[in-house]
Amino acid sequence: MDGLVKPPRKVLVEAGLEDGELVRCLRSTLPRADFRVLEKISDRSSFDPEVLEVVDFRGRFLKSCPGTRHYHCCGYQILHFGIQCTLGCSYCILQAYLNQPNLQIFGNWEALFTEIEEKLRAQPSRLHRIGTGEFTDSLLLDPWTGFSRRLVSFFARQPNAVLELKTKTNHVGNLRGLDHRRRTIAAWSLNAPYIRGREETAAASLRARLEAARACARWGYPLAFHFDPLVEYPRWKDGYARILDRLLDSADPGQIVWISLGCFRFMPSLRSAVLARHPRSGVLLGEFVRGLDGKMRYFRDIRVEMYSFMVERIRKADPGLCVYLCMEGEDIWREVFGFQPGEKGGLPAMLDRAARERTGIEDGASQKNP
Amino acid sequence: MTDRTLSPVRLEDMAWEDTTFAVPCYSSRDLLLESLGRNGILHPPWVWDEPGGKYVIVDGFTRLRWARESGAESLPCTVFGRRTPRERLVCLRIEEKLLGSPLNPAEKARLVALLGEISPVEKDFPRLLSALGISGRREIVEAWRRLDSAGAELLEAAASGGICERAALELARWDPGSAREVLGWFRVLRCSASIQVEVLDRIGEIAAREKREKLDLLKDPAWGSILGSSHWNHREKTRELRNLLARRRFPRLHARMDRFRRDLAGLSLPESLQLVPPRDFEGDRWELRLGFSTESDLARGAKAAQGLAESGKLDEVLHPDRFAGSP
Repeated sequence: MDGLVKPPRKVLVEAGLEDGELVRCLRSTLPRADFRVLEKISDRSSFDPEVLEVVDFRGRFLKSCPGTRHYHCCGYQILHFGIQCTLGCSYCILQAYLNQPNLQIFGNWEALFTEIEEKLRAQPSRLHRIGTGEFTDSLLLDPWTGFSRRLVSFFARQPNAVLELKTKTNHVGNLRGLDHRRRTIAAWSLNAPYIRGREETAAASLRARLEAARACARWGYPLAFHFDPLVEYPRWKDGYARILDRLLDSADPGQIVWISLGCFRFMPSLRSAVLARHPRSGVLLGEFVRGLDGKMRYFRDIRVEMYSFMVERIRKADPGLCVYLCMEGEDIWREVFGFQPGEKGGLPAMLDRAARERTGIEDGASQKNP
Repeated sequence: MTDRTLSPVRLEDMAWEDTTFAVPCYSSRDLLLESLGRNGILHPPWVWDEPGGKYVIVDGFTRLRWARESGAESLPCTVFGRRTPRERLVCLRIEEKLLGSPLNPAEKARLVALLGEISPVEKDFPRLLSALGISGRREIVEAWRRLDSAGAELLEAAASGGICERAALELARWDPGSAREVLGWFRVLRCSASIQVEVLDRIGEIAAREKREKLDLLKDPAWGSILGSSHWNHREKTRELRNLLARRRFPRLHARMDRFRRDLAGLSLPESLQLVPPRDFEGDRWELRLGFSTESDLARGAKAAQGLAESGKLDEVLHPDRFAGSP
């Protein structure tokens, strides 16, 4: 990936996982890495970018997206398969997870797949939108773990679920040639070139991300894009117009399931981490006020202006494309779109419809790759 | 055990110019000098019989200077032998200071800098840092070391309580000219620790937003007219300065607040009715407060509220952006 993400050089494995599928795969893809089996991997405070920890996760793998009563949530379910990220984006909340600074991936895959299967079976009439990009980047470690191959094949067999892999990398090699049945959405987080250069320095270039998206589109995957966080800076309109134009030149809008927009917001505790780790960052310089959920958000007029600008440009390319706001209130929705999600059955229902329409899947039915 | 003896040491054999172990307090030593004048030296100074042949002062700089100025030729001192490792003396010096009167930020900064002579992997390093009340995180330790070398004016302000610890640590990052300028502000404002930090944050953020050097920003006449005002006391000056900083830092929010105030005035509501926007206009929950003291007051107020709801003017106050171009 632009040579920016280095393979782990040291792999710490919790006892009991050393013969599992993940560790077998890591041993073959990381032949030079130093593997050590430990009884227990404890929380630590120091970060070592060369270390990958493989742990036996005992919690719930599936979690609900942490919405609040004040802002509309997409109703997405998070598949928690690992934690942390070495892309080091200045605005990332993972910096505040001080007791788990190292890359960690859960090695008990069988338990993970069993839990998803049970969940999907328990609610067969519901379309489950599941994504992995919340606590880590979905594809950051994929060249070495090969997890996407297992995951995509698993979801291809599920009649009532779609998987979204959200990334800032171009690590899509493992997605090639899979029988995905359009049940996996390949998604990229995008930003203005200025923000990419200043705040996402270790992530793939925008060109690399868009090339990867084109490749996935060729392989038949539905696509999604997330402009989150939108960051206000002096020439933000030019910057976001440029990346939108590049995106819409690169991808057929008909292949895009949804585009989400979310202005930068952060828990107040993140501020000190950003200042300490990214003293040159400009992300904290916006006009932030305390939101109803306690997070710092741009003053609402700025959010409305940014969203309206983006929506208008996207609408010109494809009026029917599903564009949604991540964690915003009804007043903002109304000003940006002229309606609020409740009028269309709620945001989760809007996204379910988009998933069905744009992926071509029907609940309970499967479809072969084109 | 450390190799030390109580022995008389000639003052001319002291390495006066070596201040490695000095921990200046940057505040008045009157109490100590008064006690020395009345009682003489009660606790022998510590010196190190350093391999160079002179005695390096470890503890007791003021006492030894007083003795020299009083005409003494020699003095009983606790003498640490040549084989005493320097790191050991650093630890003892810090422990001695920790056991004395409460340390001011300038002294803490000096002790953290002294601690730099000990390897961070030695067990004494985290123990003493913790005793100083300082986190072991690298950037925190570096911030304290930066303060130690920030110059006498800042250290004096921190030692005297003129600025708080957090503000001192922040100012130590600033260029000396800007730090000096702000110290001048704080001397005028005499504001609380939290307000000092807020002011520094605002200045730093405004300078970054406006892409200006801090010193250039601080020379802006707008601040000077507040700080130099003869009408306001220090509290009023603090309030005015904070308001002005907030306006510069949050221009769009304040423009909206101004617009709301203008629109509200245009509604000509009776005094008993108060229209209150959501905090920072976040969310869509507005309040209309009605104050009354009699039934007829309430009836008049309710009628005015009804009139407001039916006037068609409220929407423009609530959603001014839909009426772009209107005043």
